[in-house]
Amino acid sequence: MNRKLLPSLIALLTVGAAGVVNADIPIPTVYGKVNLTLNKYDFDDIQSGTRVNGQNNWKLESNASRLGVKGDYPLFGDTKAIYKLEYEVYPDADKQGDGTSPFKQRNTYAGLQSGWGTLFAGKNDTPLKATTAETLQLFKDLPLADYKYVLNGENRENNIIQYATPNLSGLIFSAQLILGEDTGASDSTGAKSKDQNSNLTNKYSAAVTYKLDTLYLALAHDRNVENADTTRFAAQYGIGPVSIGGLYQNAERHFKNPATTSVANGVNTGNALQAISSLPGNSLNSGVGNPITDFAGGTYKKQTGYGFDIAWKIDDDWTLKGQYVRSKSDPVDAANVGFGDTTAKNYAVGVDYALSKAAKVFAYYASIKTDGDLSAINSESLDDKTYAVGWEFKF
Amino acid sequence: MPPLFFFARQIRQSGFKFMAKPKGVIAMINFNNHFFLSLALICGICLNQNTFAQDKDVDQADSLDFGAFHKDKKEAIKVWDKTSDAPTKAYSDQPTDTKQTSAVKATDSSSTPVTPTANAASPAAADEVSGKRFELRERYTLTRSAKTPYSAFYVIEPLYKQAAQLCAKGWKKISERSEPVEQDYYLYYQIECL
Repeated sequence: MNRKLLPSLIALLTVGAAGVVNADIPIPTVYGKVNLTLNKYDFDDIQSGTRVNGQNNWKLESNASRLGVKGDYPLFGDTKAIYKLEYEVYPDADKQGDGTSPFKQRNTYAGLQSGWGTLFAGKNDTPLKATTAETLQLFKDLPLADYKYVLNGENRENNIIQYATPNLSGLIFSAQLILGEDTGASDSTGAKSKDQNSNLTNKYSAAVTYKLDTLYLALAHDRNVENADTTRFAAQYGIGPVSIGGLYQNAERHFKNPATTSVANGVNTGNALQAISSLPGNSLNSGVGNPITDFAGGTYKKQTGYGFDIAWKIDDDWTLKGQYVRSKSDPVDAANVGFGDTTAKNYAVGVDYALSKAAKVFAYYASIKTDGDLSAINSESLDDKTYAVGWEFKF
Repeated sequence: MPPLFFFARQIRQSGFKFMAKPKGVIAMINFNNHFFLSLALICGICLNQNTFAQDKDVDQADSLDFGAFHKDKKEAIKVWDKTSDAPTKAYSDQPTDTKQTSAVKATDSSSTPVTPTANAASPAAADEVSGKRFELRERYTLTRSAKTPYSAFYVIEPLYKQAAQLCAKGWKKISERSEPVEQDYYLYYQIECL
């Protein structure tokens, strides 16, 4: 979808709704949030075998600030059409979205909802990612504290068809088919190329979650999502004002083809897991890009990870929170010979002060320490850190 | 003793130590002490307190509970506020009692009693209803009726009286219609307070 059409779309929905308001058609709902942080970054870099300061600056960051429109429309019986169009926006700078757009597409879909559940198609987070999105991730979207800087599996996929059961006394099952849309064509010899994602079920993600009072359990599995087969288990429990959570996951590459394989006809040539998110604000220094792949020589084939989080809601206004996440990645070089494992340790501590139900100010400190094969790639371990103050307004 | 100090002292006595390190702070917990177990049990009584209340759409936007996300929330921001356009009925939909109606007729212009939300004696209240829409009605007959004294000509006066009570600073008529009721008619006015 062309993001330039978003303002027109919202206007169309508005005018359309206004024009038919007396026909008793449900009205779209607008929602979103603005989350801004003032970050002080301190990133390490290795130059000529020596650890140096790769980045040391202040930045104003927008963290998944977004604008969404959702709605539904009765069809027959208790079945209704549903839609959701959500876009990331950048209050701190212009044209930071897709291409030169001020918008970046987030979860967007349309489908049906009834007593049997919800079925929709579009673009959406994988169920595996969603298991921890609104639960365990206490520092979601924040630089150096989001899971995406340490763990694989934080994916939002295009061309998905997803089904989710209704909430069955706290139990929800959700499955997502991801269309790879490879051609399925034969190669020059007439033979079918291997490892194509041309079928409906080549790639999928599924999760089952259970919530009872303050107990939350989740089990999820990705198959061939961004070339990873990932299994994640997460749990959280609230004891009065204290919430404690933990997760464990294992990710392995799905395809193991060497990188030198032909790329004809959309054949998947991946031999590694997808790289996790790079550190923010490193455009002027490529050497401070991604601590794990920097150590892994660019690629890794397996990763195990686990993490814990704790939050203490002191009163209606103050919340203290902390997080520790660790991953161990097994690198692979072009010759398919592994280097020593790369270990990334992330911890974050923070405090929130609620100004209202819809607004808060907060501060946090986060660090990612990376250590790996000190003979093959880097000769020094890395310690990247940030502290920040921020504010969030929800609507 | 303030609860926070009591809590801090208990933590200290329990073996929980903060140790300053050059690159941060680490915490060590002695799990052999029963304080943390007791704390967990005490806190368990307060299970009804939700640590992270989620009552906004954006809080549920990334969850797997699509049913909850697509439910209307109390504080939802509608692109078009439908309720503001719907006029408030200044009459009851209940069938009017003949005797009561007759009594009203004798003493008041309204055959269907209303409770005005604004009046001329209250400028503040008048400001509050500015832009608000009301629907009024009054019964009239084209022949003779025991349920209304008004003809099509005179029925306008009681409607104007109702409008004056509702809109102290004046009003404008949005629409007018007539619907049959038994052998008579209702004349409806939709008005908007100035």
